Amino acid sequence: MPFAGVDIGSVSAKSVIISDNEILGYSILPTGADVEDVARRVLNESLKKAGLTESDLERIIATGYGRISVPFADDKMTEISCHAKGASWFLPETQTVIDIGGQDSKVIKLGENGTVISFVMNDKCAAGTGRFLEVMSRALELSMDEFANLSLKSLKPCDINSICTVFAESEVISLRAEKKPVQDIIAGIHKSVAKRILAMSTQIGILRPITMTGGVAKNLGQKKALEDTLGFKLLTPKEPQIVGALGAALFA
Amino acid sequence: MNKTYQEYFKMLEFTSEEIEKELPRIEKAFTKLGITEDDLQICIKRIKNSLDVSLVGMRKILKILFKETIDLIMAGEEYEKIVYITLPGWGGAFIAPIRNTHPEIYGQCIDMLTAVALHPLFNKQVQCLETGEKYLPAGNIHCAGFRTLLGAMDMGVFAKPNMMISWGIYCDEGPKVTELMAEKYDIPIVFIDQYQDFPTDVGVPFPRYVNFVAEEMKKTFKEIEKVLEIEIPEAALMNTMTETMGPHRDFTAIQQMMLDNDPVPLSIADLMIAFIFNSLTCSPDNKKSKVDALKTLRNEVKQRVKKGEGPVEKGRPRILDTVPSFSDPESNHLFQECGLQVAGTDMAIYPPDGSATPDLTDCKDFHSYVAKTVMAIPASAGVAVRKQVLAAVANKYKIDGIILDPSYSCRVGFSDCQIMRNFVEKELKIPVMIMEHDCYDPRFFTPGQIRTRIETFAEQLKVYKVSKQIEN
Repeated sequence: MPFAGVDIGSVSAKSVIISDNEILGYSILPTGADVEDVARRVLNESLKKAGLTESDLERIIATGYGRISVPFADDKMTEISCHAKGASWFLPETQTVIDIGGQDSKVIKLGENGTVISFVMNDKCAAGTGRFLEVMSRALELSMDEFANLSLKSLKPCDINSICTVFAESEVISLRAEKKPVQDIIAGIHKSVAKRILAMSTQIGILRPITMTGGVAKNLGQKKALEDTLGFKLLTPKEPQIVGALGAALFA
Repeated sequence: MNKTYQEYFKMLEFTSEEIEKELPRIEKAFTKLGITEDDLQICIKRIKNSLDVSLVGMRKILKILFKETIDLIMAGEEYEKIVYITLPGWGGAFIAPIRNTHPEIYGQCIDMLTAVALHPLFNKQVQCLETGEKYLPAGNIHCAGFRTLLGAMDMGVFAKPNMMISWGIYCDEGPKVTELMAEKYDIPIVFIDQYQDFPTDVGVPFPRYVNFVAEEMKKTFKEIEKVLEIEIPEAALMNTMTETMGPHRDFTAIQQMMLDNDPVPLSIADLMIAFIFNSLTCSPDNKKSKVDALKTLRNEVKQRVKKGEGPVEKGRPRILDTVPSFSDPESNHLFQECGLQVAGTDMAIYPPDGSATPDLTDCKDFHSYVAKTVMAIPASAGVAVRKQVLAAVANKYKIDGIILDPSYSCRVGFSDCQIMRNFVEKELKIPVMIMEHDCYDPRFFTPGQIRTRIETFAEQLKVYKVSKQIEN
């Protein structure tokens, strides 16, 4: 029986089609302004990749911030439960999930079968999120790919002290004025995000192994900064961005 | 009067005769507050969406809160002297003997009334907060309750009092901020102090603490008499005690029914309104109505229990929410929208067993009665008592999970939050979630973020309940 999970995040919309515990197809699109439209398009695209139509689907679960705006979904689940479930499917040994999404970051402690035991989310601030990294890459006039890769070349990451995105941006501009190497500034930015995640993690007491999910997990510079800060290696699923949508499909 | 105004007053159970009589004062107060038709439309929607106005008792409570706020705004014109007392709500009992014996004096537990009325009923709390932030910056430490009061005074909405009474029961910061306000407005101020170092290894009652607060209260009454040039006879204090006991008994009965029953018969959004309402002192005109409103609500809740009714269906996870929002019924309503039954708040349950009634049998006079009621509230009594009460409630009333709510601008909840989380997780072994918010400041309510947290907690609790059933 095919099931679909549709994850409408603040930056990207994802859809995964599964059947018999196998991924048949998935799709990722920028969310844009029309949530309902992108939800439909991302589902259709994933269905096309799976060689199915909507009528073949048994159930659809929506997740993510836009979950309430997916009228064709049979039910909705929060992205926290879905990331836990999806990460556990990809990497069953996972004990903790770090999900850095577009507008929030979460640390989730897992129980058996990917259930949520405890979780913590960032608050009303974009520091420590994908949006924070986007703002910083724009300030440095780099694409996200360039931004992520340059960080790995840093030998001496700068200190970014601010925990506010707007203030951090001005710090970055000052560091540029001081002619600090751009790779050190980026590594400093990644380190500041990692420190935010560490602070959140200590609140619930993380257990290893830890799996990193969400679009930011593709940023190898950020992953390295997190590993350096936490003091151990992180696991990453093959496609970390679809973990939430996969979790939703598994719940379906 | 146009349709919006008619709808608003109808929702608050006003008769056309009452409106006709009260309209000049209401219009004056509305002008001072800057109320527009848009504000009233927002309030109608906010109240209808988040409070159970099908309950007559709730409508009666809202009506009195409206009238009390109008009295507060008009106090500068209508009374000779004004005295404000700050948190905790039992300040209402403190003010009552002054008002009962001296009708020319207006008094109110000001930050409790503003918290519960300005946002839900008038949509003006944010405006007062923003004005208050000219003097006290937004953010931690400076309580949003004080910022609201300061803003309202600066806007000329609330009159400058002749005296302020500040409790240092919950927090050491309250008196300091009140002192700052006293300096700005040149208001005489008296502090009711309390130890802030609670024993960690004993439960309540702490007689030493209760006695200290009772003595502080006696000292405060002497100061009030001096500053306001009045006399408050001992009999007035005893009369107040009798007067407050009736409504308090009705409120505690409501909280107890919520703890005892599944489905929980009342929403936490409604309970919080009743909780703060119970703690206020009322104008002579509203005193009888206050008794009637809480009695009516109690009877309605009792009927629901008999019929097995509640806002959330039976069997759904039952939680305790330590400090729900005072000012924002919409955020409190989210729990039931997410399928959670909130059985109570630890501001309205008492040691040793977590029931809704404090043990006041050893209280011989007014001072010890108020002091013990205040000091027995877990939030006033330190970590040891909070642990004792949460453990008792969780076991006795089948609580599936606990939400701890540290309030951004309040140090009381923040300081012990992580200790309590570890305690609930490790000792009580039930799910726990920390949900940061601000119990006074509705600007901290971000629907997306809070909803995701509460929904996830609800999903977590569903799994927990199923696994517990399998275990059993």
